[in-house]
Amino acid sequence: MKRSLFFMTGLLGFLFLPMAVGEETSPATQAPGFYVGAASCDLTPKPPVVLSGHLATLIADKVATPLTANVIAMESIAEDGTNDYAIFVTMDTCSIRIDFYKAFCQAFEKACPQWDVRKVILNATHTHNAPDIRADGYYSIGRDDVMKSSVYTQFCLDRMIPAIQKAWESRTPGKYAYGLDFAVVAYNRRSVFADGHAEMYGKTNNPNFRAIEGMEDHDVGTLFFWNDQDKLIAMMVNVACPSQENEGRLEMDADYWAPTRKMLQKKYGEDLVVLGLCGAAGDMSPHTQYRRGAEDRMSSMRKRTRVEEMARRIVGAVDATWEVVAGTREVPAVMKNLYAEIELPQRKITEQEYKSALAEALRLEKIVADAKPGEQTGAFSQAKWYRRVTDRWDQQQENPNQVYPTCIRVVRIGDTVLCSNQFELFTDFGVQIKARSPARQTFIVQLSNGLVGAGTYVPSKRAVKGGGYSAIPQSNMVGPEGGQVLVEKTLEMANQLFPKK
Amino acid sequence: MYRGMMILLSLILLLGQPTSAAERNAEAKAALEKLNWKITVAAYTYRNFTFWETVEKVADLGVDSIYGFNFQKIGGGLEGNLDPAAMSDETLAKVKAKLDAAGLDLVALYYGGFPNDETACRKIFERSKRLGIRYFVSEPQPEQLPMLDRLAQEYGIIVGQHGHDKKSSPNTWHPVLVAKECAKYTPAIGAFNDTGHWIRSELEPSEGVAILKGRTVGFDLHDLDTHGRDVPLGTGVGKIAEMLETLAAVNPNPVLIGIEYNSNPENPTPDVEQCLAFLEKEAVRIASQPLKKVPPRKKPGFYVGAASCDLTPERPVFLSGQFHTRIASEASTPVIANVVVMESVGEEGSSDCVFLLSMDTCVIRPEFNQAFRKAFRETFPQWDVNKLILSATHTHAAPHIGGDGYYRTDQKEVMSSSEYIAFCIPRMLAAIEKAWGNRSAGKYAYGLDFAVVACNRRAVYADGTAVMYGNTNDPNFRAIEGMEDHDVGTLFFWNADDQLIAMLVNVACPAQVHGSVRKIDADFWAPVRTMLQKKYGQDLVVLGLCGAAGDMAPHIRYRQTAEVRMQEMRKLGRAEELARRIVDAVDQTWEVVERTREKPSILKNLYAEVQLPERKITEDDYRKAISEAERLEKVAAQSKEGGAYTQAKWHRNIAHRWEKLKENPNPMYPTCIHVVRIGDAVLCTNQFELYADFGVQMKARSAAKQMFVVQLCDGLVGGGTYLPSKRAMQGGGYGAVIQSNMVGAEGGQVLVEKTLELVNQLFPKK
Repeated sequence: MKRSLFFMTGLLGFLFLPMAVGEETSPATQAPGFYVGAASCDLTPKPPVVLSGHLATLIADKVATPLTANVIAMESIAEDGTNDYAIFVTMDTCSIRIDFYKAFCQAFEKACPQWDVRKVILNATHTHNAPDIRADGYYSIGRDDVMKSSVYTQFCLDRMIPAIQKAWESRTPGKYAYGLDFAVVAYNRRSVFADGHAEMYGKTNNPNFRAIEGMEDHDVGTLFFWNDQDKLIAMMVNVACPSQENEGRLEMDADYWAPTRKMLQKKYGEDLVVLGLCGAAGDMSPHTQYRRGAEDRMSSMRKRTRVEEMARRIVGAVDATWEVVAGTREVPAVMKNLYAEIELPQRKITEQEYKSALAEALRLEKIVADAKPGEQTGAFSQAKWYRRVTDRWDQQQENPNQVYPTCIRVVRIGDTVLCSNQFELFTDFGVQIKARSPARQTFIVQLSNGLVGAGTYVPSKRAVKGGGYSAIPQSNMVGPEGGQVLVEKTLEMANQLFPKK
Repeated sequence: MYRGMMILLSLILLLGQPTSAAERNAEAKAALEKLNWKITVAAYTYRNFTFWETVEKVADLGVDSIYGFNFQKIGGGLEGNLDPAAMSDETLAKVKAKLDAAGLDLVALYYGGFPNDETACRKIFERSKRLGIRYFVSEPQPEQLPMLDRLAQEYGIIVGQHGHDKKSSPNTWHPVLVAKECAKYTPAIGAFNDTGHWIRSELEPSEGVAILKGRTVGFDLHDLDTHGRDVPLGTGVGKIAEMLETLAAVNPNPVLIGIEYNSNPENPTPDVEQCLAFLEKEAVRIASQPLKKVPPRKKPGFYVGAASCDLTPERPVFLSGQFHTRIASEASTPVIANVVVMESVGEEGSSDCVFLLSMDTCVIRPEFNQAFRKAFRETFPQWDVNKLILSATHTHAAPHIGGDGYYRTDQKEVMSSSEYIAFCIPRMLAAIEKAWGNRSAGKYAYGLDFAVVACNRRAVYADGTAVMYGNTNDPNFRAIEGMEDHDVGTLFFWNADDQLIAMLVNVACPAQVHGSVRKIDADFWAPVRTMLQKKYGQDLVVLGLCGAAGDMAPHIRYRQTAEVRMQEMRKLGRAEELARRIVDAVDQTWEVVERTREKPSILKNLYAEVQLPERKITEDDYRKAISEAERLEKVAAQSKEGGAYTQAKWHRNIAHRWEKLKENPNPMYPTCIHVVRIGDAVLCTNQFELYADFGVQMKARSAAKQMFVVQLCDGLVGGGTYLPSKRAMQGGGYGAVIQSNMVGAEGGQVLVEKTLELVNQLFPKK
């Protein structure tokens, strides 16, 4: 059956195919309770590598900071022996590319056949200074010495799978605590001008600048985990800010998560495993958008770089949270991990959008065709970016109501809930989820793995109106309509986990 | 025969008039002698006439001398100008004879530029001596002064340095410059001060005279009105009487006071007579009293002082900020006013000052503002009231300072607004005086950190409408309307003893956690001040300055349970929790910047009155408002203390504006802004509850290293009122509806541009 026909069945309403993988089949081997374990692994390859996250081809010849993957494995065993589990993995990478995810699933299923890969929540920090993990050939490289994406993928899997296993095997009865504080690290990067158009990184010192498009979420949500020795072994730190301050540099870099982890490890233990979870931040950036002079002056006087300054603020928030909640640690009453595969209405391409994209794709393809053999050119991947739109237009001719399959996870840990999705989700949607969530505290995690694709922005309605990168069809498979469906489904699952009394 | 009759007429006139300066006013003469002053009249006053004619007119005034200028035509049948070096011997003799016949000494001569050649100069001096000239009034080049000093001593003619404006007279426009030059030479080189140019250059004549001390040898004395036009002495803005007092106190040497009057050149005589009368009267007054004490001139530098005063009333009061009447009989925290005064004295003696007050109140209402400014002018006539900045923290739990009758009650003991205003003003003026009195050479530092305290309070729904405090836990909720500005900007001030005396803390969040209480409360600023004083000194003066926050509130708008949980675990109330965050931001800033403290290179306080286009009422707005007003008026008739009364007025205001539109379809709203440069920082004020977008625009385009935007400051005709962004107007809701605004987004943009224009003046591009 053609995929398109399968998708057509979604016309009847957006089919939710909840695969509520909650009632686990693996037999519990331990006493009832909550178990937690953690581990890390280094994912820094030998350069040179091609960096992910840019339309242009960027080759990194050096390493600024190590890249890591960090794992927390948790399990909850009920009195009747049934259990549920969740394995959180955050990876210093731009996006969990579908090619990587498929390879990961294969490797995971092979190494850990007793587990369900859908219980694994794989997230990206969104650093733009990590090697690409798409299929080979996405970038035109023009050099033979650059590590291929497929090689790097295998490099990662060889380390991540054992780290997952280690985290699992090291789990002991544990406790958790959670809390909220704030760090002003993200800026809404979309500037709106007098004529109503919006631009990513638009110049705010322009006389036509009128407003920053939307709000910023400065929450720093932290979950702390202790083992049976009452030792703090791991933290999840949720910040609605992509880690891309150092993008554009030709070096591998975990961005602000590197100094954040280092500072936290210095304070709380060198073995501490820190998972950096990026919140709904599709319209956010760590780059200062206005009054830069005042901010830079302070950083300069502190003798800190921007990422170190961001780390200082985030760690300050974690510390402030720790001071309050460390004494409240307890066994979470519930740990439940729901997974659902859903279909979201795709954003429709207009004829105007198609024509513009086609013209641009043809222009760029000509540049590629005219390039000398082996010559590296950014036009190569840029052309593909525009071709996405023309391809979608063609598909729309067959089926005007395209849907986009994706998956979401909603994990209850005690009084908190973590909600993940694959997208670069605009902040408004994250705020909606938090505002309507039944949990005491809600953690939104974007850039998790998807089903058929990875990342892509889900813009708000006002962003689509303003236009500009990340709100134009080239940037989105799913628009605000689909974003709203994502919100509703996420909340539906959260409400399942927190039934009203 | 005709000639004989004229002589006879003259004799008759002379017999009926005082015939000489000695007889004009014996008392004045004695006073002038005591003070060592001589009054003369500048011929330039009569520049539309020849010197010949001028001599006659000046003689008719009853003075005994005249002060000529070398480019006046001689007249009287003689060729040429009144330049002794250019006159023939015959002409010179005839001029002398004319003067003698009129009973006038040509005591001084304006000789703008001397030649570099000493021989040529010598000729000028020698021939001028023959005319009896005792003063030259000139603008010599500095390199000519050694020669002129020698010649002046040789011939006994003082050379007085005269200045026009800064551009025309770069060496002599400012008394400090002249004083510096004079100090190098003998008393034969002095200052001949033109008070008209001083006033136009925004220099205080009294201050100028104090700078020059004994080196003032004479004046082109002018007084000007606010448009820069000559008016009779003592009737303008020059504070000439005060200047003369200072002159007497600092300069015992002979001083020639030349009345130079530029208005009415066809017939200045009546005004010159008024000037003469003024001078004689002042001479008598000053000579008869002890000399005033002139404080030593301040050294160039930056001076800062601070003080506070308690504004907590002892009687029940109406609380401001809600539609319904609330009466408070007790206080949860004091409400206070905090003052920082700053003064900068430049190398050239130029100075500027700022009187910055932050008041625990909702809005600086026009009734309060007008009364305060009047009292300020009366109490401190020496200060420019436009250097005063009043700002409100926006607490909704302070006594009302608007007009009486806005809130109503039958309770007799409740203090009226006017009574409370009368209570506050003397206390605040005393605090200003105290702050000014304790100012000393100081330093400043500034910095930026962050505190998430404000929440954008406007929720947008699926249908595009926006609601203030709209429920975000609603399936139709889509987004928070706009951004929040979480900057905490702090300015620190130290005194001459290196003691931290004051802070300005700028937070874009109105102090209205306790918006509906019935006790007096300074809201989160109370615990902020307490915590800061505990850390930094009990006498520390903390000014809370509210940033652009018209769409903000300290109330949590979503994920309330998560925030409240943390707060409860900390055992803090909401105001204390916000204070914790703000103080943490101040601490973080302090750690970094306190070692950078320095004297600010510049302090400059600009004030501007601007006209903003009013938001226009539509007919639909009008009809809805009338209907609502009528409904509420019926409700209000039943209850005095309900909110219907004030709400009805809120809607009625729309009807008034609608009616006025018929007379003027393009109404403008007058307001004022202050832009104050303090070193690398700039503070910009406005009267509104300004939506955050405008504050962000200002910060984004500001030329300063760091900008502090302060809303809810004094205005011209009104107080407060929201100034919404364009997107807010589209969404509607309280704060963005027509009733809430005199000025809309269009006017807000004008406000931004005007503010930035003033900022750019203060930070000129290099």
